[in-house]
Parts: sequence; C-alpha cells; structure tokens
Amino acid sequence: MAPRAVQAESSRAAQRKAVPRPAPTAAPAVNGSKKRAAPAPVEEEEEDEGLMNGDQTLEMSDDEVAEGEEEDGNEDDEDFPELDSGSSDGDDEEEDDDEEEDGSESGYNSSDIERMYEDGDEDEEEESPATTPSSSREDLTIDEKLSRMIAKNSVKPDEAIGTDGKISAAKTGKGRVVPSKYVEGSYRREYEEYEAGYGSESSTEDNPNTVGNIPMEWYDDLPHIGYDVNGRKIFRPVKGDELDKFLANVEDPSAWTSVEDKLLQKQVQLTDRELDIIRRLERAENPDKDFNPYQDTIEWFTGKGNERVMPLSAAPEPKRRFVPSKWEHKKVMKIVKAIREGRIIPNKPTAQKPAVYAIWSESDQPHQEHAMYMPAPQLPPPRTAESYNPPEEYVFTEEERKEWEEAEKEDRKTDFMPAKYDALRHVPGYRNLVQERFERCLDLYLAPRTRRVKLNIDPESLIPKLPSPRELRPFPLASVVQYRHPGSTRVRCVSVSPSGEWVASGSEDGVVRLWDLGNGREVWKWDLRGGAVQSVDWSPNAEEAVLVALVEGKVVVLSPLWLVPPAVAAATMEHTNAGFASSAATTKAGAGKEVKGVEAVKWARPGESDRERGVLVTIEVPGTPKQVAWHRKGDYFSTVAVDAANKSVLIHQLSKHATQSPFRKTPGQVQRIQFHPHKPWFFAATQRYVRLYDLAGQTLVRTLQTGARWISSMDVHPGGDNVVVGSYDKKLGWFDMDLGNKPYKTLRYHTKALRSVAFHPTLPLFASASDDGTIHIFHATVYSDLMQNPLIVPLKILRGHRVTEGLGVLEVRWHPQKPWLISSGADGEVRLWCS
Amino acid sequence: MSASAAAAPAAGPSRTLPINLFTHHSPDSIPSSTYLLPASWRRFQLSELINKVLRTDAEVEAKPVPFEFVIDGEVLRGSLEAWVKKYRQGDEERVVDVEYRRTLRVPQEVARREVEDWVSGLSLARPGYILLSSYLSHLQLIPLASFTSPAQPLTLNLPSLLGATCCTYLSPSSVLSNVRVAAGGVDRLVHIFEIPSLDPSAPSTSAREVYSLHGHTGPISSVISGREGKDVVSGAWDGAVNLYVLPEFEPTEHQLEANPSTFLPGQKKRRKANPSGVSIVEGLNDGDVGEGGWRRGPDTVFRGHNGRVGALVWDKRDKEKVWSAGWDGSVRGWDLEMGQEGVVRQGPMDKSILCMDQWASTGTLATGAMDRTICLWDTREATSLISLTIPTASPVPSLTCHPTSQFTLAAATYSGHIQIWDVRSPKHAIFSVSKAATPAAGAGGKKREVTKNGKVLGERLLALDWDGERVVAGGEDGEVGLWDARGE
Repeated sequence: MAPRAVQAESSRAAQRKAVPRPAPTAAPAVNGSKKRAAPAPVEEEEEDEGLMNGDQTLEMSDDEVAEGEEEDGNEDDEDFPELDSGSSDGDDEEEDDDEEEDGSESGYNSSDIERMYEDGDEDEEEESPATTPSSSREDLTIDEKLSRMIAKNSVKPDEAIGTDGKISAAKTGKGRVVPSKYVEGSYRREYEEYEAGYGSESSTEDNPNTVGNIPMEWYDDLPHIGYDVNGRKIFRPVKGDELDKFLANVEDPSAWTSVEDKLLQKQVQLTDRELDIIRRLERAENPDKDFNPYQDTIEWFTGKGNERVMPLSAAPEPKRRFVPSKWEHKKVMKIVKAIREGRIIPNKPTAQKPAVYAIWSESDQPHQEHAMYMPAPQLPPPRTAESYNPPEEYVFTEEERKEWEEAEKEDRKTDFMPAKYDALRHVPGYRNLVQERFERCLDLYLAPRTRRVKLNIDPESLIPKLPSPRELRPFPLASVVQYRHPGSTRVRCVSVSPSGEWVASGSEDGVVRLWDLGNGREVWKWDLRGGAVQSVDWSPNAEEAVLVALVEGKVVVLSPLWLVPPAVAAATMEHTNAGFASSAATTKAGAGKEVKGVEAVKWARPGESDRERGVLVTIEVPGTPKQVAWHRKGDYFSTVAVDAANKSVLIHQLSKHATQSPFRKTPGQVQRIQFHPHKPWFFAATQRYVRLYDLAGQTLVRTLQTGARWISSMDVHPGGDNVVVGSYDKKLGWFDMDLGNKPYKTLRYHTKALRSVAFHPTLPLFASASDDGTIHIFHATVYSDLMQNPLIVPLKILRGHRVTEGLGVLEVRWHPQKPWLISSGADGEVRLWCS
Repeated sequence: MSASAAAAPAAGPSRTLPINLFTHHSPDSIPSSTYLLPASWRRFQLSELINKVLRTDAEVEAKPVPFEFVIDGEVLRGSLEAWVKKYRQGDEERVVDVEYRRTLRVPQEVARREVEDWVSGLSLARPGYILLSSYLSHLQLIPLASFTSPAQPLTLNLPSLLGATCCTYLSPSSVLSNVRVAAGGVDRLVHIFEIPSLDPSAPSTSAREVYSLHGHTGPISSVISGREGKDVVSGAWDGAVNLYVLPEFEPTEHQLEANPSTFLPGQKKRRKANPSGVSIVEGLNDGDVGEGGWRRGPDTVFRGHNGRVGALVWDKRDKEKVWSAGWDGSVRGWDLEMGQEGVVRQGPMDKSILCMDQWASTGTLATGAMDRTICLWDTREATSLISLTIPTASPVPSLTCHPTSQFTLAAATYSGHIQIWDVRSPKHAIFSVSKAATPAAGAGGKKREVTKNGKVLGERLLALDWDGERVVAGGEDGEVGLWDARGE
C-alpha cells in the first residue's frame, strides 16, 4: 500500500496547490468564481467530517446514493474494485485517502452535469462533503495526472470482473444493519430514504403552476395564469408597462441574462450553469462542462501484460458444418413421401369461398369477359364546335344559321348550333339532352350489335412456307454461252431443237441462224430477205428437222438438211414435199376444196438453190405473222398475224400444204396462240382474255379472264391444265384451269412489260422475261392431286441482257431436257443460262 | 552428311525443328533423314539446302532450282516456326513432314498465231508440232519452230464447210513418214488423213484423206486413237461411241454407200449431167474442200449414253479400255475386247461433261462440265462416284492432265482463262491466265471483229493441250496461244 499512499499524498498536494487558482474550466459567471474562492480551504478540512450523509443536498442524484452505499460496501469489502464506475471515485478520494487510485475521469453520465452545477450554488450556503469529482479533478496538476495515468496503466485490470466479482454495490445489501426489534439478537438492514430523482430536469423542477405544457395564451384573458398543487389560482403577476420594462432592463444589470418563464409569466434569472450551457451551445461545443473530448485510451487488450496470446476460439470447424443434416433430410423425405403417396398435393387449390357479389354496387368495374357481352359503341369525343367558346370560324354565319334552322332535323349536318359564350357559367341548359339520351338508349336497345373479333395474326405466319431455292436445284444460274450475232441487230426469237442440240434464232436483219448449243458456233444460216424474223419454232417431231420462221407476209419452212442425218433429212423432205406432189394444192389455198377466207394464202416452192440449202416451203399469208405454234405431232402449225383482221389466225397442215382459218370472225385482236399439249384444243389469247377452243367440236370451251390490259405472251404447262400469261402491264397471271377462269396467282415483280413466258417441257420450272432486262426463274410444281394447288417458288433473277431502246429480253425458251434456258435480247445476243 | 553440315552454321543459338524432307519427284530426292533445321528458315533457305544436297561438285555453278514446300497439303508461306505455331500450337517436338516440289512458274505467253476461224481442237502429242482443227473445216499442222512466222502451214481440208470439231494424231510420234491424223467434223464423219512427210517444204498436196469413217448420226465431238493408230474411237452427239479398226493396207473399194449429195427429189439424173460431179451448196461445199477418202463403217458401236458424248479418253494404263463422258452426266468405261460396257458412273443429269482426261500415273479421270465444275472420277471399281469437285467460274470445254504428275491439270474455260489446277489445293487455281489480259503479240493491224466468213469472234477458249512444258489454247478468238507452263 505504500506506493498508493504516496500517490494519494501527491494528489492531495496537488489539490491543495490547485485550490487558490481559479478553476480553469470554471463557469464564466464572475460571481460564481468569486464565491468559490473563499471557501475552498474549508472544503478540504471538512472533507473527513462529512463522511456520512450525502443527503444534505436536497436533490440527491442516484450517483450520490450509490456513493453512500459504497461506503458501506467498502467497509465490508475492502477490495471493492475501483473500476466500478466513475461516479464513485470522487468520493473515494475524499473519504479514504489511501484509496485514491483511479482517475475520476473514467465515467460520465448525465447527472454529473447537474451535480457539477449544483455545488456552485450550494457552496454559498454550506460546504457539501460530497465535492464533485470534476471539481477535484480540476485541481490536479499535470504531474499528478501523469502519475495517475501511470498508476492506472500499470495495474492489471481485475480479471475477476464479470465472472463472480460484484458488479454493483446496488446488488448487495447496503444500508445500516440495526438490531431487530422483534427478534432477539438478529439484525435487520435499514435503508436510507430514497427519493426518486426522475432523471429529467423538468419533471423534478419546482413548478407551482400545474396547468402543464399548454400554450399559455389560453390564459391570456384570465386574471390567473394557472393553479397550484392545491388547486388555488395563481394570479398573474403584476407587470409594468413597456416603460417600466425598459427601465427595469436598463437598471438591472442582470436583466439581459433573464428570460421570461411562460408558465409563471415572470422574468427568471438564468443561472450560471444555464448560461454556461448556452455559451457552449453557441460555440458548438458539448454542453457538458465535464465532457472531455480527448479521452485517455484505455488499453484493454494491448500494452504490456495485456496481450492476448490465444485466438478467440481455436476449436476446429464442427462436423455439422460439412455433413448434410440428417434430421433435415428426414424431414424432407417425409414430405417427399407424402407427396408421392398423394397425401400432399402440390398447388392444390385452396377451398374457394363462394363469390359474393355486391349486387347493388355501381362501381366502375370492367365487365366480366363472356361471349355475349357486347359493350355499347362509344360516342365520339366532343369536337371543337361543341365547345362553349368555339373559335369564330365554327360559329354559324347568318346564312348557315338560316340554313340550319330551315333544314329538317334529319338533314342537318350537326344536331346542335355552335354558340359562343364568354364564360362557362353563361351556358344555358342543353335543351335536347333528354331527347338525345332517349334516342341513344333507343339506339342501343334496338340496334342489333355484333361482336367484331379483331384478328391478331402474326404476319409471318401468312407467308407460305416455301422450300428454299437451294433444295429446288437444278435451275439456270449463270450465263455460260453467248451466241453472238454480227452487227447489233435485235434478236426477236429463239428456239431450241427437240433434241436439244441446235438453237435457231431470228434477228431483225432477216437472217435465221442455227447455232451449236454447246459452244455457240454458228453453223448454218438462212437469209430470208423479208425483213425482221418475227418468230421461229422447231417442229416438236424429233424424227424430222423442221423449222418454221415468220417474216412479213411469209411463213418459211426451213430444215438444216446438211446437219442432220440423211435419214432425218429424207424424212423431212418427204413430209414437206408431199403436198407439192398432190398437184392441185401446190400453189393454191385450201387442200382440195375452197375454204372461204384463205384465198390469199399461197403455198409456194422456193428455188432449187434455196431448197438445196434447206428452205423447203414458203407460205404467203396476209399481214405480218407474229407467232407460230406447232401442234405436238409436228404436222399442223398455226400462225397469228395481228394485222390480218379475220384471217389473223391460220392453221397450216404441212403434209397437205393446206391452210384453214378456224375463226370466221376473230373475237378480238389475237395476240398469242397455242395448241393444247394433248387435247384437240386451241388457246387463243386476245388482248384481255384467253379463249380455249375445241377444234374438233368447233366450240368455245372456256374463257380465262386475265385481268391484264394487254397480253404479251402465253404458255401452256405440259400437263395442259395450267397456263401462264404475261402482259405488257408487268403482270404475270397463273391460271389453274381446275380453279376457274380467274388467275390462281397474279405475280407482279417485273418493272417493265413482260415479253415472254415459258414452261420447261419436262422439269417443274418456268421463266419470264421482261423489258427490264431480267429473266425470272420460278419453280412450279403442278401436282397431279387435284386437291393440291400448284407450288410456285421464285428461284433466281438472271441479269445480263442489256436494255437497248427500252427493250430487254425478247424471248426465252427452255432446253427440252436440261434445266437450261436460252434467251434472246434486244442487245443482239442470245444467251444460254446453265445450272 | 552434307545436309547437316549445311544446316549447322545457321543453327547457332536459335531453335531447331525436326524436319523430314521428301519428294515424289525422284530425280530431286535427297537422302531421307530427320534434319534439325532452324525454326526461322523459310522457303528460300530450305530450297538452298536441297539444292546444295542435290548438287554434285561438278555442277557447283549450276543455276539453283527453286522448290516449293508443302506441309499437310498446305504450301509453306512463312517460316517453319510460324507454321508450327499456327498448326501445331508451338509443339516443336514432333517431326514435321515437308514435301518439296519444283516451283511452278506463272505460265508465260510465248507466242500467238492467228488462224482464220475458231479453233476447235489442238494437240501437242507430237513434239515440235501443233495439230489444229478449226471451224473453217480444216486441219493444220504447225511446226513450233515456225509458229509465229506467217508461212502457211500444212493445211488439210475437210470435204465440207461445216467445220471440224476435234483432231488427233493416229500415228505414234515415232513414225515420221506417212503420218496419219484424224479429225471429227460437224458433217458426222471422221476424216483420216495421211501426210507423207512432215517436212514443211514438202508440197501439201501430197497429203490426202485416206478414210472417211461413217456411222454417226450427229456431229463428232471427240476422236481418239489407240493401238499405234490402228484403232480409232469416236464419240458423237448421237450418244454412240464407235470403234473403227483400220485395215493394214489401203482398201480398194468403199465399204458403204456415199451420203446423198442432195436431198432434192429427181436431182440424180441432173447431177450426172453436171461434169464436175459435185453440186455446190452454199455454206456446205462452196469453198476449197477436200475429197472424201475410203468410206468405212464402224466395227463396233457402243451405245449407252443418253445424249451427246462429250469426250473420250483411251485408258492410259489399260490398252483395251476406253472411257467416255456424256452430256447425261455419266462417265462410262468400255471394254474394247469384250465389246461391252464395263463401268458406269452416273453423275447428276445436268452435269453435261464437255471434256475429259486421265492422269497416267493414278488412272483418275478429270472432267470439265457445263455446270462450271471440274470433277475427278476415281476409276477403281469400289470407290465413290465423284471423288472431288472443283468449282470453276465458267464451263470447261477442254482440259489436259499433266503427263507425268498426278496432281496438276490445265483447263481452258469459256471465260477465256487458262487455269492450272493442283487437285491438292482445289479451292483456287494455282495460276489463271487469260489471253485478253496480255497484249496481242505482234498484232499490227486492228482487232478482228469477225472472221472472213462472218463469224463473230469472242473470248471463249474451246481447245487446249499441254505437254507438261507448253500449253496451247485457242477458241472463239481465232487465235492459238502458246504458253510456257510447267507443272508437276
């Protein structure tokens, strides 16, 4: 205990020394410090006397109670740890000199502030034995502080704290032990009076007015300002007028430190500590005088001797962290089992309460969806003219008004007259309201309504599922051979021999040329000397090699005699010359009998050198024949000359050298003709219609309405039931004759007039050529199943022909076996397009 | 070893790679061993190395041969290191097998010569001469020596003006006198000529047509010969493949009736009256036409093709076999001895085969077709149909396989290009040269637009031949071009 005593001595000395000095943290109130200076020595002397009763102060805080109790505790138990609470240290210092060890600054609580200020007041009256720790601390010198700190830090904290040591004196018995009155020899503990100090200052304040925390202006017009505890009125204190107030303020030096107590309606002088708190608040400091912003560090687990050597827990991770919980597994499996057995049904609907409808409710709930619900059509929103203040132009002029008034009610354009009012409140009542509502109701009642189902269709789904062109190979892809015509002459027509070896082309210089299909070599040519070659066509009979070419006023039958085997050449000669043998027919029209209307047609034999070169027969016909079409057997062929009036369509028979005109009166300007591939039928396309005639029965079978303005080309599917028609107005119509007289499909994709359409004889392909210089290749499967419509797939656009003078590709023909296309163009080229 | 000695100085601190160098060209082969070569070596260093190894002391100053290096079918373009990094992920342990071969050079146009009309067939089978058939209906034998000289070569006229479509030598190149050549014509006949002497100074009139081979009903598309020129096989547009066996000695009478010289009824009597005996048909026989030889019919007719026969090849390994390719997309093998069809390989129907050739070393057939492809057909029995399809930009009317190499072929296209292909890298042609790109050699006058007889000239090539050293090609442009083009 020796060092402790020394410390205590030194601290006391320090206290003594510090006494005469003004307190460094003293309240700024001048009078307070003055008062304090004198009794300070007395305080020290009386320290020991005032051992007991801390109840000398009226407002004893609980801390002080604890101190009092502590004394007893100290008596019982000397080793009570000083660490307990800061509130006790001040007392320790004073009561036990030798027990002065601990810093008083360690604790802080709210009542310290109070106490601190209280003692300032009390000092005036009497010396309290319980000097506050703060006052004692103020007196400490730096040395003392240092030594305290050293002492504090050099002592190991009591490890028993929190285990079994006493935490608070309040838990143990305090108070005096007095002999029991009733039981002999026994003691009972007698406690001091305890006054509940309810922490809050306002609650313990001595306040005579009991009206509570109400706005005091409620008592403004009353003579009293409230009631005291006994229910008596507290009357309003006398107040001087403003002059008195002013004088009072001037005279009283303490007036500026006083405020009005609203409750008591009088000026209250602020105490020093209140002023001090105000000043601190002004300086934005902690209002507590004793608050030390620079607290000493308390080293709990650091510093010498306090080091912790072990971690908080060295226990290994428990197994349960790794092993799945068996219990949980069991629980889950129980549920699973229940689900499997059907005892638990997942997503089972809970029992539904019967829906209760508020039948009288008129709320704006939407109608339930059901089939028969048809909402009334909405009225149109009001227009500008219906405004109460429409712009001037909507208001009727005199004439309009007159007209409106004179008109019948049904004839009026509007059922009201727009009127202009400068304010809404000037608008009179609407006279027709009831009438209109009635009519509306009548409408809704009488008008049958139907539900308009709005179709919501994905546009993608409307596009037919077409196979990709890649799957539909082969079809022509690229131009590989060009049949070059000398000079730049338009090639109007082209035809491929039935064997697929020779290509015949007719150009505007009047020459029919024969080309090797494979390499584009011109091997033979006939100069017809008759203007542009309008059309060439090979006979479909592969046993012969007959070619018909058309020039103005003439049909020429040609044969490449020297290029075909002698047997074929001989057969050709025999076929074409048979007519000459029957002498009557040679240079006359009609075979044997006179057919009316064909007098102008004359079959003639060309000269010997021409015949030697293969010009076998010429037929003089009226007009300029534009197109030739062969019958499938290769004996009949038909020509059409647009400008030959009723003799425009002629059917020639090669073996008999006979010509007949099938139509007495042509139904219009016949543009195109074609024989049906296997029936004795004949297609004739006029400008707008395609007519199908039965040649054997001499009847009109069918009229196809193309919808085109001017038909330019036509071809018949080798199956015979489908026809494509191209027109000058850029459209292509596909007719399925099983589906009626209207086009099954009308395709419009060329940018200029179509010139030629062609079906492949064997493969499901067709092509269309146009003046825009392109050739479109289509896949076209015609199913034998009547229930299935033809499949048309666009495959390829072939570009290569140049557009010259507004003309592009003039004719396309297919190779008879291969997916190859021959096209002739206005640029003087014939091209072969290969897959 | 000298190779390692050559490699050693360059090795130094740099890394080395184990390399196996080999070649299929036996004269250039070096001792097979695994060399450790610096990784940074490129084509040039490798080529130098092989040259050093090959060169004997005697020919030190000989010009080095440039080589090309192929690893796994890929031509080496950068350094060995780069190749290893790219294809082996930097694995430098494994041995790299590098094939080397002599570098091919871009075909260089040597000369060109105008002919009067489109060129339809060419042959380089006899060294020093070019055999040419043209649509002007004649055969020409042009000595290479006087290729560019304007001197008129030996010209043989066919008896009609319809045009010749193909030509071939019948006599093997060892025969120097009485050389026989054959030409197929649009007039459905195969004409066989005999040239007494190849000497250009000899009068061409002595050459004459010996035989006219009848039997086809369409223009001849291909004619080939075998068995020292004693057998002639021709294919025509009628789909038939005819075998003609020529007699040992020239016969004294025709086997067949003549074709009618006119189809007009009642003209025979008048023809007798005509003193010349030949009626002139414009466009058929109004020019300087030759006279027909002894008419002969076919000894065997092979029918199988549906449509035109495009090309014929005499099997280069089996003397009794002929291959034919047709426009129906099939390749057929014919056994001459048995007189029947041996193999049928049917391709797509729209693959119209225009030309065919065979590699002598492997027997693989290469065909060029109208659908812009070159196809390789394996001739062995149990293999797939088409072993490789090489897409070209335009139809291939003529192709020739390299006579010794088994990988390269030269092809002419309708777009006017001569392409040299290596089937090991089928994506692109090794070289593609066109006549249009090169300036006309010695073209003094203006460009011809049409031929004398009014046929338009174009750029398309129709015929090509390659003897491994030179390429001749001609076609619609009425010219024969000669290129230096090697490839093996």
